[in-house]
Amino acid sequence: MLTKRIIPCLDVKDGRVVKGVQFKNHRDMGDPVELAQYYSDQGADELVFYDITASAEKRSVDINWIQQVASNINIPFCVAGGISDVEQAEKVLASGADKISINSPALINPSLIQELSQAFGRQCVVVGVDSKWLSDDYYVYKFTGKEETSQRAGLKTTDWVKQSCELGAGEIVLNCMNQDGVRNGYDISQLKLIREICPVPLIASGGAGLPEHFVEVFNTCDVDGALAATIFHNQSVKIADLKQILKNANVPTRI
Amino acid sequence: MIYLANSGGYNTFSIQKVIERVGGKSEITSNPETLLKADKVLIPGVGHAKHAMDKINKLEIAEALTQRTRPTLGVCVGMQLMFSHSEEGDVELLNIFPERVQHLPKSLRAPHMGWNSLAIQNSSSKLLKGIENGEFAYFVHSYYVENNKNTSAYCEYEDLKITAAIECDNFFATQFHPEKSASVGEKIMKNFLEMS
Repeated sequence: MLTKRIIPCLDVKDGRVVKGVQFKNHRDMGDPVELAQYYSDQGADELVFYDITASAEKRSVDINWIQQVASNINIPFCVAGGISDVEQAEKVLASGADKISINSPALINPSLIQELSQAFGRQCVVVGVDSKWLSDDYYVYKFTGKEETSQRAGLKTTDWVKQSCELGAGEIVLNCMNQDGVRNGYDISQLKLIREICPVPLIASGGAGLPEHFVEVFNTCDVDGALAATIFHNQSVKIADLKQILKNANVPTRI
Repeated sequence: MIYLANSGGYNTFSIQKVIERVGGKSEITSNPETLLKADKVLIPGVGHAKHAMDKINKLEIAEALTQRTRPTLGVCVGMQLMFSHSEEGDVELLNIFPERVQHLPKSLRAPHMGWNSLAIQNSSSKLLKGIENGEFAYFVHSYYVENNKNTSAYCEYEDLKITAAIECDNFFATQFHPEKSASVGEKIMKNFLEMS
């Protein structure tokens, strides 16, 4: 049976892992390789490294730490941040990453999704979507790595998710910005809505505060994985405990 | 020494690292002579079956790979290359195993991505020695091979039984990624390394 994935997200800034509340006041939480090893040992199913400054500052990811992570851990991981062409993606994948996640560059140039999918297969291509409710619907945001660069992308979330999948996305990570960092649960209504129109694996992101939030999102939204950062980094939720709780709640879980 | 066929695929870095972690050494080669006679050969692969097969044909290593009599391991697309034909790019493959590679049924979410449990079908499998029924491996693929007589372990994706690992004589393969399958993957790589 295919199990639901628990995915710690390590936001990387200047080679260090950070995670702030609502993308503000970033706090330093450690070394990427050390944390990757820690989470792999704890039973994380997958890791995401998000270089949150890369798109905003128009630079690409550094591959040295990617190679170090790939050399030291034996679970899959995805790298996001500033990948804006096939050449950069190739470097990241050849360094041992399993997937690349693109966000703002795909909004600027949607055909990038197609190019990456054709070059490496759609299973490598994750589209990260930062989405926020604005009066009448969910809308996509870009350059969210910094508060001052964050802006509307001019697209409704449902339209962008559909388009991304048609272009060749192999997975969607939906980051529900209204929920990010506030720890009162995943955005169930939005995830249900996107699940209906998303034919590829869907990962919930933003809002996890308690183990019950994971149970809720898996049992009500049929997402394939759930991503979180702060609660794992500050150890308020331990992955081994979380997985036992999921298993007890009949969520298919790898233990 | 495990020689990796230079058939493309972006998992070569991780495969070389897992070989290193279980105490082996590896090298990538396009040399047909080496690929025919080497003690161990691994066919990696991530991406597109046709691209990988085109590369094998261009390097003229298909015959060397199929004529091997020593342990040979295919991983993911590297496994799919061992079958007769793939729907991915409508391409003729190495035909070590007669089955065909098909796209997942439209009713199922593709890619099949994540950790799935292994149902061991061949309890005397050399490759899966020490792996228990129900242990997990990491899968990511949109094309698959049905469960068949050479399947050593399968996984269930909804109602579909997918070949997860296969073996016959000196040929072994996994649809999942041992290089990303935590301790299960390392055990499998160690089994391959220690095969005589």
